[in-house]
Amino acid sequence: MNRGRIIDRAMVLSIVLALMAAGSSRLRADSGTCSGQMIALPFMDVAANPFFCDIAEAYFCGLTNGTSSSTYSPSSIVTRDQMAAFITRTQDSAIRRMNRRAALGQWTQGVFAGGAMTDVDTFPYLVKSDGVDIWVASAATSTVSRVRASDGHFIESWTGASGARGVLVARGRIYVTGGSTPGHLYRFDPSQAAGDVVTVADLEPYPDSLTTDGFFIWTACNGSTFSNGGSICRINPTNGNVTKFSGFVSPNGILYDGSNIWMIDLPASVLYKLNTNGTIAQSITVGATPYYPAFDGTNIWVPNKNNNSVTVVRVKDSVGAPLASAFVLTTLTGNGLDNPICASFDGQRILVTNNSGDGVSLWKATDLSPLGAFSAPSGSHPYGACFDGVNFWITLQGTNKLARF
Amino acid sequence: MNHTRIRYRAIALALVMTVIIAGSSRLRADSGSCSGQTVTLPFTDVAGSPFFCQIAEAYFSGLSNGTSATTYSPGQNVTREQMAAFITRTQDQGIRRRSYRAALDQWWEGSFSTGGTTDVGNGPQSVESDGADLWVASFGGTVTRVHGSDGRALGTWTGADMADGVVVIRGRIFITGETSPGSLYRIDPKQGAGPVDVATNSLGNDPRGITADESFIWTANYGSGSVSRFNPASGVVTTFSAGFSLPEEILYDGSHIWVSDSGDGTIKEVASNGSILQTLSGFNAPHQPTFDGSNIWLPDSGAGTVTVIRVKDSQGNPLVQPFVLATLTGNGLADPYAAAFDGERVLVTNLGTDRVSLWRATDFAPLGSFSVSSGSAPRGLCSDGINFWVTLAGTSKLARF
Amino acid sequence: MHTNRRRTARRAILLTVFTVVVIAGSTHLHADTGTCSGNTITLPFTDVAGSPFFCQIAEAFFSALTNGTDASHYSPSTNVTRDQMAAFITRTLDSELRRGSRKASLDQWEQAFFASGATTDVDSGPEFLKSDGVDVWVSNGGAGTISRVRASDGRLLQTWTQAPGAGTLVVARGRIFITGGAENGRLYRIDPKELPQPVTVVTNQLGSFPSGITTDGSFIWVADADVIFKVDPGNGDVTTFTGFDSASGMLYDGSNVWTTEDHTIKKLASNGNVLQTLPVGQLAGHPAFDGANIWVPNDISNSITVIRAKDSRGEPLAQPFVLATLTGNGLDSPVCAAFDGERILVTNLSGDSISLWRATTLQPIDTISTQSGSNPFGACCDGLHFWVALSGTNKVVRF
Repeated sequence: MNRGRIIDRAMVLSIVLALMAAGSSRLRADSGTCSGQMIALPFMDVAANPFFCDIAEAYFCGLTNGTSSSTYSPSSIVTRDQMAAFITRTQDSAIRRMNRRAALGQWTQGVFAGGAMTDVDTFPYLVKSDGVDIWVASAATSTVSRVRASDGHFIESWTGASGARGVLVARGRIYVTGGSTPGHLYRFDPSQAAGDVVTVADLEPYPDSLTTDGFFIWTACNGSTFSNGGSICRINPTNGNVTKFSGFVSPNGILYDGSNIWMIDLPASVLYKLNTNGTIAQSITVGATPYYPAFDGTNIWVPNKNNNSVTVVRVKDSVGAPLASAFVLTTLTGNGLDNPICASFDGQRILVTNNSGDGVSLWKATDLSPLGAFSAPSGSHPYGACFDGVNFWITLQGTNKLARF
Repeated sequence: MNHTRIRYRAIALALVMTVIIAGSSRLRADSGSCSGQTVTLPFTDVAGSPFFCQIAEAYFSGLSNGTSATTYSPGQNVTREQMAAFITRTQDQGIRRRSYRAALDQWWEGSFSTGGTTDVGNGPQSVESDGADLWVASFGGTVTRVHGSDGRALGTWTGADMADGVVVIRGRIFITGETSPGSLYRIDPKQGAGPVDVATNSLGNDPRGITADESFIWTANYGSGSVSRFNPASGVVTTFSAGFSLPEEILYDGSHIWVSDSGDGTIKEVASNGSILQTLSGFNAPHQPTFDGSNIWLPDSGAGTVTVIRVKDSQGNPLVQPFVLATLTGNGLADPYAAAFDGERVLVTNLGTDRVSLWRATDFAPLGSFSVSSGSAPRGLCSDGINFWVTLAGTSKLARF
Repeated sequence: MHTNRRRTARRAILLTVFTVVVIAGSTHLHADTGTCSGNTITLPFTDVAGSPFFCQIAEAFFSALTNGTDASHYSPSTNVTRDQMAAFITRTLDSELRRGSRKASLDQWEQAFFASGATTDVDSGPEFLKSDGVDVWVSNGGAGTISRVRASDGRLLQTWTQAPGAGTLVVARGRIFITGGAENGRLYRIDPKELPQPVTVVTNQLGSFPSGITTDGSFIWVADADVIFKVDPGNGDVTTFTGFDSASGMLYDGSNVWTTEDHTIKKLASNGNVLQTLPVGQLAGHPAFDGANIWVPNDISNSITVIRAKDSRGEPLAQPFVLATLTGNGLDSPVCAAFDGERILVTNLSGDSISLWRATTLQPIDTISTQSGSNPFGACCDGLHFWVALSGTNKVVRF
């Protein structure tokens, strides 16, 4: 391949010398050998240190900048505030470097683009991925669509899922909620040719989102009036037996954090933690009209549609054990929030769909810092969101599309 | 209308005041600006710290709880014991948040279900993933390819008589066949299903476990008490017998080959010239180990234990002296057979009870045991990065966990 | 079918085994004991029994983050010094990366090596390639086609046509964008959802030698010798920024676009202004970013310049600087770099090889031959494996 450049050897030599001189004002200090390679650091106080190579690594990947431009102060005692900097940098570095998109060379936050949208059936609601394909429930057509994640190719639809709203990938099946009175839990086998779904059980009216604790399927049911009489249904997937837990106004969001089921009661503005027998273990007040929360391993993020806010609730301790008493860490506002509906986590960031704002808002999950808001096409009305391991996927109710972000 | 609004204002004011008062017992303390956002922490001693925002992040992401409900003690020295807590939380959080399962909202440990099984050939033994599909070797003579995302069987290769171990390497799938002398089968996954190739039938007798390093395919040959090294470039087989009794399973940790030997109850570290570098003894019936980046996990069906052995340091360098870290019992163990690692956890199959047992890999915390169907006889297993996959020798299925 | 393995005199053996295990273990694990998550845990240290952090010390020891201050002491109350801190946090970082990598879960612990079975034949003159996470897209510059190869098994799936001079690629906005070099410069586009067909031409207003390509999410940026092009992928409008010299590689670090020139690398604003210029080696090629640092291969200097571009929080540095210049490790006309989460790979065009470094430590891992006459050029990662285009032998190879 013709690169079309002229090489001037004299110029090369002078440049090399210039580089050596230029470099030397920064890296003239301590040197050592690490894994057979000569390493030079800008610090002047680490030369003979037994941890020289560890200090080099910490410096190279940005975990430390030293105590000044020329000192690392290796013998100084670490204080707890410095410790906070060290460990958060370590955690964030690991999370960023392990990101699959990093390995794909994709460093953008994300973008909505026409070419990255797939037409799906009318009125798409919630969405989930199995890591290879994206599954979208479309309420108006009573179908579940399968879209290939790598390129957005629409593959096929399953039919007969009346009023399809919520989707769950579990137990080698796709579970779907739908229907009015009674509601239904549907199921189908994605390894078979597309066809009609199978009805697993009748549920309370207007089932919405659903989750699993590893055995039972748990659904949030809005109830027929959406202002009282809502409930949670717990279904045994092996025999279709349903246990109903009442006492709620109108549940909509539900998730499992590895230890407990958590559910949102929309008109009550409450996040409930449930025991395995369906009784309430704790209730946390969140904002007005909360919708579909997400869990990041430590905290639950609750979008509050009418407050344009997100409540962040600490539910697990630092070793991953459930807190005896969960509590609100903070309530986030701004960052483009405009009728937020659905939260999703990608390992590093929380995304929230803005139904009126026609876009999404993002935060860094570890420190709750805002990453900005990103616009989808006007009138698209983003609703559901999920992550496939590489990209977020958003259902656009206004335009009946599934968008890669 | 006006009356209504005034009444609502009074209520709103009361509510706001209530919120402030209710919150104040927790979050009345230090505030600062981080990334353009006002951040409030429950601590009262961090307001002026140059590391306020990092303390906030450590607190928000669960790496620190402070020294009390209202203090972080920023100027206090960090002791080595506190350091242990800080770094283990950092490690575990990072791994957990970055896992593929977290990405897919799969926070439950896993489950067995009828729907999560795929029919495979008679007598499935081992399974391995290529990142997209699972490859299952069945003693009845077939190798089945199963799609990881939906469990659909994609193809069956035939002629793999007495197939046992599987390894995905060099753009191929290699499978041992427990014949005498031993067979090494090979599949090109780019091609459609058909009869397997025979790479060689000069391995030691009854080869079971199989692994690969950068140059060779290695097999543990139970029948002839040997280990074979196959050169895929030349086709030459070199078989080593010295020091082996009944070698069963084998793995590569990136530096050395390890062989479990149920004849003399050992696990041996083997050099690429076949010489034995280390022997750890005292096992009864050691079977199929796995490696998690630092440690080897070795199930022992005779002792009913899983032994965790440190073989590498934190930089990934092999230890001169590997040593036993812990011997795990309980957690549903009953004739444990094979182990696999998914980045975060180690899963072990139990021949005795149709159950699998699960541990967290960094601290060996038991995560419980899980029942497969009666008579299923869970045997071999692997991770594909999202799920564990278990062969059910009793029912000739592959099960997603 | 296997029979159950017979266990004879099991209890006697068990007793012997138990004794043997205890004895074997005693040189290491005879000391402090506690209960963690229901397990009885024994550590080799004699000074941690009463520590409130006993279980965390156990975990740090088990997962190889610490070895203690000596064989039988952890010294729990001793203050941590900053030099020790460096060891603790780098071990933590590296342990996370190793355990949490996709390769770990797939039992892939081997170092990279060349295997002819891991190659796929493509069309003539493959120089550049890029993955969407499932498939690898290969530009065959000689044939003017684009090959789509399945990453998991290397199977050639599809070929797109009528892309003369097909060069660098970027996966963006649900599309694959490709430069068409060495002729009146074009930007091609493929919709991967469709069946293979002739590529779409987005614009033919690029210069004579369109080289590196990247995206900031909204626009496609192309380097072309003395100019940089910024293309609106929606309508094909091209904005031209002048004043460059031998602009070759392009990269986006999440905040800024960077371009490599003959012996410099430049950080650009979205309006094309040059924000910063740093010296690199001679004939800088196609760089890679690892989340904090940019790795620039320098063809003629046979070196890699490592630039610190961002801090550990992912914020752009006000003053990026040269962190190190790496030599040796088999460098021989290095042209392209790629990152897989843990390692940096660089292709050696003249050396017929690839060179690998650990990204966190900047330490060399190995050099691996891609066979005589292979002329490896482009490189990418699919999230699990590296892929390299062998322009001399019309193949792509997976590492």
